[in-house]
Amino acid sequence: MNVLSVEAALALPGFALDATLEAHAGERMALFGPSGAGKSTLLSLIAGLSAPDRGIVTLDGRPLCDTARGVDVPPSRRRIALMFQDGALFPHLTVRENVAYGARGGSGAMEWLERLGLAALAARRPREISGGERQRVALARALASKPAALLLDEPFGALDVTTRGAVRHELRAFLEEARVPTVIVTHDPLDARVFGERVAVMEAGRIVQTGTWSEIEAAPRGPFAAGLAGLNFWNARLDPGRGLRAARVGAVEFHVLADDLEGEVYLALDPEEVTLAREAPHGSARNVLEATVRDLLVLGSRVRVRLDAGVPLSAEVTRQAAEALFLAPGQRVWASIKATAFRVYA
Amino acid sequence: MIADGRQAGPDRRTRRARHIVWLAASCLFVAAVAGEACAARPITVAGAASLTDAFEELGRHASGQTRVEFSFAGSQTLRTQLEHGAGFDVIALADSTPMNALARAKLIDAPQELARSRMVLVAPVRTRAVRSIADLGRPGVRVLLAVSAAPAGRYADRVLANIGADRALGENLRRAIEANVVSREADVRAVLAKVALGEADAGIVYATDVEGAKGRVRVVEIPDRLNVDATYWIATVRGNAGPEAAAFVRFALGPEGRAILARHGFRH
Amino acid sequence: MSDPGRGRREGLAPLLAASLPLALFTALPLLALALRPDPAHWLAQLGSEAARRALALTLITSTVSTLLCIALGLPVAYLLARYRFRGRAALDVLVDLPIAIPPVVAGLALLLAFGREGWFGRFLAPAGVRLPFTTAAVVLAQVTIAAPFFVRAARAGFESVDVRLEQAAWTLGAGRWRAFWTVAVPLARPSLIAGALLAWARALSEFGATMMFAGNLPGKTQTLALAVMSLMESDIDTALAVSALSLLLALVALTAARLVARSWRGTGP
Repeated sequence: MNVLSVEAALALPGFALDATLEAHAGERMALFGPSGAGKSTLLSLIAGLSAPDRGIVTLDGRPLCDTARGVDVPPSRRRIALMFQDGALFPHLTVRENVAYGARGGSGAMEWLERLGLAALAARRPREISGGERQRVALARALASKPAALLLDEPFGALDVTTRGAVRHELRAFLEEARVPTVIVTHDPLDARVFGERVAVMEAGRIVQTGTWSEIEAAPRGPFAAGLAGLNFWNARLDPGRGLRAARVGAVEFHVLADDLEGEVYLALDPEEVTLAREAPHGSARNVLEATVRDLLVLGSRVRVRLDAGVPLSAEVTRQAAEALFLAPGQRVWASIKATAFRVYA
Repeated sequence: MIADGRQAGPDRRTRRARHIVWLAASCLFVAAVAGEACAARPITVAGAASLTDAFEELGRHASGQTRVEFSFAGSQTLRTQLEHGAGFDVIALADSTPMNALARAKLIDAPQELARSRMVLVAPVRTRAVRSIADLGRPGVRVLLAVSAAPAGRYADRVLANIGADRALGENLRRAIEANVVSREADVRAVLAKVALGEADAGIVYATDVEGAKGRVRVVEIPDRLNVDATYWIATVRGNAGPEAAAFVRFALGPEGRAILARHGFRH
Repeated sequence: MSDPGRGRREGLAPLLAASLPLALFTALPLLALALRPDPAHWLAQLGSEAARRALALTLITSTVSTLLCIALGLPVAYLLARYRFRGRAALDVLVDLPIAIPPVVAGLALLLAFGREGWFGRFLAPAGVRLPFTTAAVVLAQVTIAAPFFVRAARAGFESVDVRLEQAAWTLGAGRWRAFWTVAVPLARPSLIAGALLAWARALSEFGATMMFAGNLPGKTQTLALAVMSLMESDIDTALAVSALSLLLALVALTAARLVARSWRGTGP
């Protein structure tokens, strides 16, 4: 059963959002995508801080927003807590008062402070505590309001790199304990890995893919997710038939192995599967392309080589190999790829 | 960031409107200053508020070579202004008291009697509440007088004192009228204006004031035995005034001036 | 708060010199007024019936007016600070208008609207409600003139409150009403108090609109400013004493506004 279900369209100047998102009972979902993809906008639609042009939002089967039927539950009655990037703590209240605000003045405040190890800070004001502590207070405040769902908007965005890791694991432990369905918005793949049991990838106002992180890495459905998994990624057109076939990306034709598919497909390729040579090779590889080196990026003992082979193509070779090939920008090389190296999926 | 179309930021249209207002105001200011600078120095005549209409006509006829500018206000305001160095050339007030004070202080030349007026009751044409002086004391009637510092206020106080001393009307009526006074206005023109607007049921003003509010106020005569003579005095200001100022005073006191004042209801 | 001048004293002396004319221009007449009556004498004058009644009436009406300015001004200020809607620019200009028009004109407008024969006045009169020449009219005139000062300050205060704090309050289960009073108002409080004190100061000194709409009757509608006008001829000493008293009240109000603003900046959010 879906705890949280969202289907929303919203047109803003220079940006259109059209997203469908489903979070299952008791799961933590990461809403992951580049800056400007519309992640925060989607969160504010769920929380009720803004209204979609068209759409339906339901929580535990209860409609929160249904533009067709004129339903728009105000944010205060949605039982969805939203935790902002910098915590958005009330600066005029103490830590205890902040948490009590969520608990509606109830007795739960002190209990939450203790559970999150904040009891010693109860009398402090938000500006007197560290950024990591502020995030914990914000979480305590959100959980104290006994939300049916919790939304976290870039919860580590305001933290410096050194505290980030610690706070990230702290928050995850608390969330696991709290068992509140959670959607966490992030553009950081590490956040998504650590927090998301499932990940929804958002690009340009759309959810392009939902699944576990390994599912997404295995078969990304958009350039952003593929880039993070370190894969070459193309939208291709697959010839009909079975077994060895041509997949066309623009003017380039790759030979790939695929069954039960044809037409529009995704094509992913691990850069390590690309072999480079100075002379035209005579090996068993099905795909041999002449390419120009655009640039080189040294990653420890390996070198990432970006090529122009009619389509953008990345290869990863060892440092020794790169030196032996005298690779430099502008250099002409031959790239060979086995047909079996391509992942083909729809 | 949470995007929200319903939240407001600075409004550019308002800002543009403000710029336009600033521009317009600056243009008006520059035009006014430039216009002022072009004219030759006129003489300034300070006149009691009740002389406004008569003096403006006087100014049109007397002008000749020099331009006459007026400053109309309550007599007590003009007196204070002159005492503190206002650049008047001629002053005409509605009572001998402030004139004598100015003369004693050697600020003006010997005052000359300019004209006389009488006090009358005025009432809005649309109401019938006040038809005689006795009606002023009826419950709920709203009476306006000028502030005691103004001559018209002092004259009104004297009319009330006369009512109190009158055998037929008596002290009780005077007290009832006092109780009905809802405001003491800054000058006599304010009394007239608010009666004309219908905000008060009656006011005591100069007979000569009524002209300007004809059609909107009714006049109820105050019997002679209760009435007082309001005397207007005129004088040139010492040290400051040139021959044009003396000429204006002569014109006002001469046959033409008298005729104009008479047309506005003043007596001699 | 950033202070671009901090730590840089060069340029201070010429600027101080350039500021001197305006400072003197303002200070000298007030000083002359304050020093004119000898203190013993003017204190005695303040004991006079006219002065005491005017002072009491002024304090009462200006305080009531300030409370009304707050009650009526808060929603307008919040609306202008937080929402964008059709007619917002017009409302914005309308709110500022009383600052720009002569108070006498505002008073005349009040008379035409609420007077016995005015637009609303003619409906109020049969119900026995008469506004002109009453103490209520004094309050109304003061509210009209003073409200823009409160609204401007309050609006700036609300604009300085991060909207996400209110949104956070909503998502924690606080309705708009509760979030307004527990988040927006406390955080805008320095501006609200400074605005209220400014409005109070302006109400204290109101003359034109009051004269026009409420008239001038000792004990009922004669505030300090009107008393000065009324006493100018008959009792110049009391007039001066009352003037000095007005000056004192204004100093108190404005100094209090500054102190409040500073103390909140120091210890508050």
